[in-house]
Amino acid sequence: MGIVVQGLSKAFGSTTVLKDISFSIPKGETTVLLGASGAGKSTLMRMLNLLETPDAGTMNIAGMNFSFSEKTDEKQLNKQATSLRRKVGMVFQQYNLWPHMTVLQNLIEAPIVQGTPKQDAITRARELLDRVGLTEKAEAWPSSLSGGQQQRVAIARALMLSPDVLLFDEPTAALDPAITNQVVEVIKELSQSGITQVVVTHEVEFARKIASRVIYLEDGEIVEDGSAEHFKNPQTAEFKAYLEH
Amino acid sequence: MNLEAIMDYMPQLLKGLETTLELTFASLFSGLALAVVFTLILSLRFKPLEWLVKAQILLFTGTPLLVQIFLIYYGPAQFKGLQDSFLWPLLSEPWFCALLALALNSAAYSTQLFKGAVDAVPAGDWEAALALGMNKRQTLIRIVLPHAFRRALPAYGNEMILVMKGTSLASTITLMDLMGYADRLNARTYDTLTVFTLAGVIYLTMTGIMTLVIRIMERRALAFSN
Ligand SMILES: Nc1ncnc2c1ncn2[C@@H]1O[C@H](COP(=O)(O)OP(=O)(O)O)[C@@H](O)[C@H]1O
Ligand SMILES: [Mg+2]
Repeated sequence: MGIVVQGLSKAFGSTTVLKDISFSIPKGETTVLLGASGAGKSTLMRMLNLLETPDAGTMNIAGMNFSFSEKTDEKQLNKQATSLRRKVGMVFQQYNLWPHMTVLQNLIEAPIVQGTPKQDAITRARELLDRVGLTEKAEAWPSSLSGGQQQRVAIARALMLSPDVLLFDEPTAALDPAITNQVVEVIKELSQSGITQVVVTHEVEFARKIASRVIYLEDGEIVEDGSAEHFKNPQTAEFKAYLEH
Repeated sequence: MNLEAIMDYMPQLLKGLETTLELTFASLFSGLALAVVFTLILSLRFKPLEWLVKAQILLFTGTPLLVQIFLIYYGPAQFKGLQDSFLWPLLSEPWFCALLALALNSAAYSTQLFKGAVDAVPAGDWEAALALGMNKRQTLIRIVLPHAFRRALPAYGNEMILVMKGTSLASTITLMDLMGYADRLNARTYDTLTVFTLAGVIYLTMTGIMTLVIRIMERRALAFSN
């Protein structure tokens, strides 16, 4: 139960941002979506949890099927999106922690809204904070944490719902290069746990460290798609050039 | 202004203090409750209600509070139907009319404040909640409004003080608040300077206390941003 998408496309007004995107990602893989700025990586990733609605195509993710066309019923889709997002977590470049809530409150909020008893949520939150090495920070305000710590909190928050798939949009772009490894460690550890991860980045070094698969995008189209082997043996001139730039 | 006069006037003025305080807090409380509901209506864009709230804001921020108090107090008497209705005992009561005017006035300004604060909450707050499977209403109520209210607190503190000072206008519709007693005392003694200086000092003291309390609330509510 991985991710299969077929013929996804998306335009904003008259600019086509994604053209006929198809790929399949087996369960448990960590796939890197690589490409230059403006290639459409974020848009594609945001489609995977329906923060963006594709214009056309089909998508099978976390056991749910979607098919998009002009006739897509917004209301219906919004309802499905809400259940989908409980199985497909997302981590953002700017962390997007709620600043007026403590670390612990950030973690337990969504599960409680969705009916988890508060005590259970707190227990799980503390386990996850342990796992990302932030045991001591449960009562801290997000603004008092470093970027790397905030991003680990954001990852823990996404894990609270035990998602099948975890999406990362440039999780290290706002971080010091030295701090990037904290996030690398967490992603690597998660990949042992069988969760399917998709990581958007434009940083080749970071990509190499975490990827088991790579998809390379250029101008809204998939140029290269394959195992992490492709970092050593790129199949296209474009990807080769990108790796060497 | 001599000490003897001050000692004589002060207890007479303070008789109105209770009414002033009651009116202030009743107006603030009802105004706040209304403003929260109005902010929800505007933020969720509930269609027909949204227009009503916008009209209410236009009316109550666009006209003087004194005009609003007069209209609410003297207006209903012009309508025979209202005089016979169950509302009449309330609408003929100056205390209730002043409360209604102040609460609606405060609700209008507070809603503007809160809606502004809701709009200023970063998009990332929304996205994070949606990405965690919360719907729009849950996100607004559980995340965005609490964040917005905290950020709006300094401005809302000013609104609280404006309402407190605004209660003095209620004396124009015969309410015996602090200002009402000051008026009466002035009419009897013609010692205008002393009487209104004392009244001013009492208002100033209340402003000072409220400012202090608001600062403490702010410090707690905005502790996260330090
Ligand atoms: N909401 C939007 N409205 C209009 N254009 C957008 C929107 N989001 C993204 N785009 C455009 O789509 C293209 C791809 O953007 P994005 O997916 O963010 O690329 P990447 O993440 O690879 O940098 C860019 O040209 C961007 O300007
Ligand atoms: Mg991007």
